[in-house]
Amino acid sequence: MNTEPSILEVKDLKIHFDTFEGTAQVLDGCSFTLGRGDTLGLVGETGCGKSITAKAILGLLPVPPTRIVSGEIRFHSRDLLDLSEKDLEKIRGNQIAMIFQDPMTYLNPVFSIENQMIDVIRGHARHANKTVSRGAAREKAISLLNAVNIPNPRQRIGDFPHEFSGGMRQRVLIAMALAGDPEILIADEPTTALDVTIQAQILRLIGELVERFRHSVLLISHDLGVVAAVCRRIAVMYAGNIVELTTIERIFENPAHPYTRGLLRSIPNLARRKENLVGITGSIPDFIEPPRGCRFHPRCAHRMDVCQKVKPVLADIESEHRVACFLYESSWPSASRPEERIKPLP
Amino acid sequence: MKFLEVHELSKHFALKKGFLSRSKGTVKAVRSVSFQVEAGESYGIVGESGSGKTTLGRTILRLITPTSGKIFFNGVNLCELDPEMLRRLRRDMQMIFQDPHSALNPRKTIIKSVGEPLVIHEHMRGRALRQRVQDLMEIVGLKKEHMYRFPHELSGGQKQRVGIARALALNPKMLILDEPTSALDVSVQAQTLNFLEALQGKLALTYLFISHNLSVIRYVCDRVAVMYLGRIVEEAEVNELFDMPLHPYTRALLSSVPLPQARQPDTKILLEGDIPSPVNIPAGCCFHTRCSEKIGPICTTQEPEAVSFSSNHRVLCHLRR
Repeated sequence: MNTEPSILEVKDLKIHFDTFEGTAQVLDGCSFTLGRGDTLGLVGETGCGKSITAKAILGLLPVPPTRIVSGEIRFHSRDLLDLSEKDLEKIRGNQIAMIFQDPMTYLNPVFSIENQMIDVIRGHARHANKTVSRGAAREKAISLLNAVNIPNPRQRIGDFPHEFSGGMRQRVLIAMALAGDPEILIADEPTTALDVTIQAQILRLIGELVERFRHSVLLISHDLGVVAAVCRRIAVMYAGNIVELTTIERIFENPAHPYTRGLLRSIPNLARRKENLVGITGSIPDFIEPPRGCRFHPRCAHRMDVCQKVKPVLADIESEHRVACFLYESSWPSASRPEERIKPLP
Repeated sequence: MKFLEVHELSKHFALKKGFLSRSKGTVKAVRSVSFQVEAGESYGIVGESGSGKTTLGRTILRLITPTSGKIFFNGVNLCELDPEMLRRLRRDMQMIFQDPHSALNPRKTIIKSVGEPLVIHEHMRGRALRQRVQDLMEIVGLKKEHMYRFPHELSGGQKQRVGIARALALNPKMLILDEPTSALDVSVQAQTLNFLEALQGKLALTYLFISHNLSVIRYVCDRVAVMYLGRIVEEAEVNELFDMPLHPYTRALLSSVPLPQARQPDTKILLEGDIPSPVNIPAGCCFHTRCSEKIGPICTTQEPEAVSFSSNHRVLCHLRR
């Protein structure tokens, strides 16, 4: 599906949480790949499992209550799920880095940015069995702050997190994520806590960095607009499953899964005059006793008998367009059937 | 007589420091804001965090006492009312809050929460109260059995509907909706917006709709005011504002929103820097520090006055004089 060799491959990942009420099946067989220089957006509503997927990749989920039931996360053909905590530490930040949603919670309020960045840079060096002096680390920190467009980094590096604005803090966090020169950047809702004018600045910055350093990016967001601004490909998640995986152009021009279509019809578009929003009736299912078969079937207008019994797999309906829905069963066996074979939705 | 008329309303908060409460400065949250709302209209107030939109909403309800200015509600100046009169008038104005989880008492059943205004204002009890709450639940599309549940047993969208039911209990004429859908997922947001619209038609309500989400504002409102640092910098009929924005800030704001479509327009206006602190508001036009269309020293020295562009479109900018 991807012409470039994939550096990250998530295969049939199933994750359960043990709770007092029972076992919550939060991730139900998730599969996708990420190539070099690829930008993939994971989109979905609250509780669909997008953040869980990101945290699982970095081994950040607490065990227990988390149980990784099955699946593989292959990074350069090593399975991250088999690695020890010590080996994972070498990968975190150095090869796969993460940018979180709320920059204030991820910066320590009692240390200056300078101290925190020097720690991060020297820590990464230690994991790579190198030593970096404080002075050299400071210089690197300044050049990183410069790369994320913080004005006067030499003066500002001594400041504390509260002396920076929200947008500036997010820039600092991005600079820290870049410190280990990672191959993959995972950004979990990087602009959700920010105002739109600041969000536009950060999105542009991420776009420029990707262009310059050829990072592979996994961007997690609930906002289709944000994903459209940064990513080339998109995976739509619903209740622990990827229901559609395709390019940005396809998802807007030819959405296939009924959930994706519902989602697109729920978003008011700023650029257009008033049109009717449809929304999706009902709400997300219970994860302890999820619906049998396709998890979307209780809310789906195109539900068939088979949907209530069998879980659809994510299958190609065209090149670079995979959908998990029985409506497209006729086009499953081969990936290159003509478009007329795809059953149109009424 | 206008339904709601806000005249040069200002609200300043004193910043205090230490236990002797020495004044350290003032936060000018709302600065000389004037607008009018017709009965049955949806008036939108949009702005970024710190623009003063929430303070404005709360001041109109007199949950916060204004520093200066007048608020006429059906011709009555709310700023001059004594507490008892105000309490009676408040029945006509209700507020719906952003976070439905924290707006409901977790230890009260839904019937207690929704019925509370009825008990306080109309001394209702027993069967009459139950019947009225049941009617309200029906109006907002919830089932009778939801009445006896606790907030944690409902989903976010259902909780927001409970908040709306409670606001409707006293048959208000106006609802102030402060970010009513920000805590909801898009599919639920769409249901809620459609429901609010149907409700407005059915009960002849006037909405004051406060939001940071421009797409939601465009979907719901008839007229829109854009706020920046406590001032309304532009006000227009909704399609005019979105299709032909005049203020440089409005234009930058609109172009900042990432669109849910494959091809992003390449005419993005990127604003430099952050919104200034409302303690230290820049002199002259408050937007001049980030404006890319400054026309000269007048922008940094003289505060612009509102310019009417058409009968329904005014803008606060030297460029448009």
